[in-house]
Amino acid sequence: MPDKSRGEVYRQLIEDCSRKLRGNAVDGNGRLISMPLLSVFFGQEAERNIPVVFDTYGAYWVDARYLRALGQWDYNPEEPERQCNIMRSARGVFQEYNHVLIAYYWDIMDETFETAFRMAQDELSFPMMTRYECLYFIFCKDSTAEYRRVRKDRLNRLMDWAAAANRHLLILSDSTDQGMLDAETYPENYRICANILTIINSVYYNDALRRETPLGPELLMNLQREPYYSASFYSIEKNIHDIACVTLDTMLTEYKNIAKRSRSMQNVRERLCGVGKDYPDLFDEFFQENLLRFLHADVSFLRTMPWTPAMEDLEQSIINPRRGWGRTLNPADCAERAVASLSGTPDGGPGIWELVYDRYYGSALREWQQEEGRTIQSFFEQKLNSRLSYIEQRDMLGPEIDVLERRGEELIRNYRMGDPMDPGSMKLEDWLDNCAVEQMKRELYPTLLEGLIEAMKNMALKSKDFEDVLIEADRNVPGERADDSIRTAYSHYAKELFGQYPEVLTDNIRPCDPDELPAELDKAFTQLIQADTAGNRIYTASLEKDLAFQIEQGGAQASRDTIYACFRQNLAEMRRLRTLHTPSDTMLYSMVNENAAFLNDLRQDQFGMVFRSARADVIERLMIYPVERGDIVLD
Amino acid sequence: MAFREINMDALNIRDFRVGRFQNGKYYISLANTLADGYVICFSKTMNPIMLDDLAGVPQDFLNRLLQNGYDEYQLPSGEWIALRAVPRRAFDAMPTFSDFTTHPPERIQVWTMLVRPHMDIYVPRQPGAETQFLPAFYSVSWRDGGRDTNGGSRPGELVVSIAREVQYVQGSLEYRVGEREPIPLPYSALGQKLYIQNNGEPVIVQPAAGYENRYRDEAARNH
Repeated sequence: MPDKSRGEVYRQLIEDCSRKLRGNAVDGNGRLISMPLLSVFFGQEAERNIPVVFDTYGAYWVDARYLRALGQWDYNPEEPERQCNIMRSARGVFQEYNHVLIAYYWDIMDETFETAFRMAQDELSFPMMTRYECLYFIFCKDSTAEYRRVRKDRLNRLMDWAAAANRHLLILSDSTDQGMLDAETYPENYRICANILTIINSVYYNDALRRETPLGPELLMNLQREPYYSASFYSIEKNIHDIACVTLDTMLTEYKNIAKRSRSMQNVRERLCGVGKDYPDLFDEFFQENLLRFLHADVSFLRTMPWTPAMEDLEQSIINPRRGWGRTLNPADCAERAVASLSGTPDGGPGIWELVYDRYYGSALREWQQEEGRTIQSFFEQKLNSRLSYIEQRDMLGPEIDVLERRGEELIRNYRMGDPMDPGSMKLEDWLDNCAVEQMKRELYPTLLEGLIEAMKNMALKSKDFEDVLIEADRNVPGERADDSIRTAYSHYAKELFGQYPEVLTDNIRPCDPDELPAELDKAFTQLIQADTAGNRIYTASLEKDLAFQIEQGGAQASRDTIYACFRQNLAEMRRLRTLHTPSDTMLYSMVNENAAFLNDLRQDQFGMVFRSARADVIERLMIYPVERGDIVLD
Repeated sequence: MAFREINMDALNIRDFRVGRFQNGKYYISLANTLADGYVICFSKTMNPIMLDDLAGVPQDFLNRLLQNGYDEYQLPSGEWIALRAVPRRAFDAMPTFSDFTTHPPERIQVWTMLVRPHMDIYVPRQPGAETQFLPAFYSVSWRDGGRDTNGGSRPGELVVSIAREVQYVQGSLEYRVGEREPIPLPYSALGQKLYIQNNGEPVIVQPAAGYENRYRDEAARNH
């Protein structure tokens, strides 16, 4: 894979990790949706921003997955009704089912404008009893002369139509009083519109527990008074991108540090199997961890196998081991003879013992593989990785494979299970069970040896160039470019967590090909967040708590100041459409977490109407206002 | 000549019954007004024979079957089935047909054969009333061991028998003592005296899971 596309993969990884931080920064209950909402996207740019729109819906609404989207090529006058009917068939999701909302996200700069314009003018087919409202969000650009010419022409035609057909347009552009929006910030315009719909279409409560002003109906009504509107927007949010970058960067650094620190004088065998132990002990570990649970805890059924003289001897060896003339019966030997007495012969087919063994013991490995969906090799790869660093795997596994290939078979051949822990308390069936388990191990261990050698070969091969894979990953995770305060706070915190939970690194990251590492880092990141959620909950903290955490860690920003600065921001300066005059008749909204305390310290004129939600990673401010046609700067 | 899927209700076999005369010989009876003949399929596979299983049957095999009235065919899975072709008139004289040999446990399926427009054998998509399983019978003898002089329990004597000609699958019969896990029986243990420590608990002989319709207790046949 060329390096460029690998850069893409890492950008995607950072985005995925960021999304995990956003998705988890929730404090409170999500909101419910008032009525079915169909989002129609006209133009390629609009379709590209469907994820932005639906991410916003999903961040505020618990049931956003029931909402539908419609692209330009699937659009015809009947389709909105069909899509709305699909939504209306989901029971218990919406508060109103006979009222639907259709939002057009319309990029009028697209070359398909004429088609879209014709489509928009078509009457929709809805039955009489269903009320539907259409909102038109118009996206345009005026950063080049050509754009301005196209925009002027199309906006004029649209505005003529809107005035004549009693339609209402909310127009957003890429040039603002604060400068141009670039490819990274332009999707914010789509987010603004999704936010407006969130306010319009949420369920508000006015009951004993909550006294909420129903913001939605009022905003919808206000947006249907005038033909043209625009909006201003300002937000501060938890810098999840930088937090993700710093954490991934620290993850790579710590992984390498652990590898460098873990060089030891012990040989590979002792590192893998334990001091003074050998490979059969490692196989015993496999047996204990994976197969034991498939065996019957109550083995009393073994006592009901046919009673042969050898079974009688076994019974006697337990009750009364000493028999005349100083002869002593050893239960272990007697058990082996009892098993032999119940076994078949090569010519006569299997005996009862073989069938009992096959049904109750022999199937354990098959059941394990079926349940876990993994192989013996992958089990040992994980063990190797958790006990040897990638440097040790690279430097030490080769010679060990040779040793194991030479003496492995002999090791298995000489294997005998150790004596039982408490032979005095064992009954007849326990001795027979002991024989079955020993037989099971003897049959299983050659397969385990094979799996271990394969695992060692694979890890030795993958670890050879793993240093380069890590260097490349480091290059693609730009942790050093993150905000200073975030870098200080989160690199320190992540390091602390990795110290506490090293298995997050050792269990998830293992020597692999360059294409596989991003997925491993992603798994480790998810597990790190889980570890954090079980403790301090820093990664999933709200914006407010995140800022406080950064200060505590020596960050430069003062949390309250950052938040107050957001509310001091004059929204009139953040207009998304250039007009000759400052807006009047504005509707001002603040979208904040329902548990946010800072609003008590602010004046109402600073925050306007408050839309409270469970979302805790962001504070968003919106100003919506009507515009006069002659006031829009079109040239 | 080919196997085809049943496409009309009149081709279905109705009132299909398998019975046994006093002398132990099996017979079948059935009803169908349209058939020119029937093909009886004998199988020991876990599942009934489906149309898909017969997709690879070659033409010359079918010709041979029609000519000789009997042939055996190996399924792609490696298992064998036996097919018997019977003309309609075989049922005309007697309401039952018994000119066949079966080796229970064995499944019997009967399919309709039409001569016109082509010589075709019609198999239903899903096996139903035209399928019966003939179980093999086993007998059980149990003698409780009672108590020894010290009041302890003595092993009881269990004998499980099955006809010599039955093709027994290892472990398909089992016994259990009380509620404990069952002990599967190999062929070598059948007909032998097995001494079982049951401590007064009941000893039950039963077909193993998956073999329930293949074996039946001889004692139940008379009831």
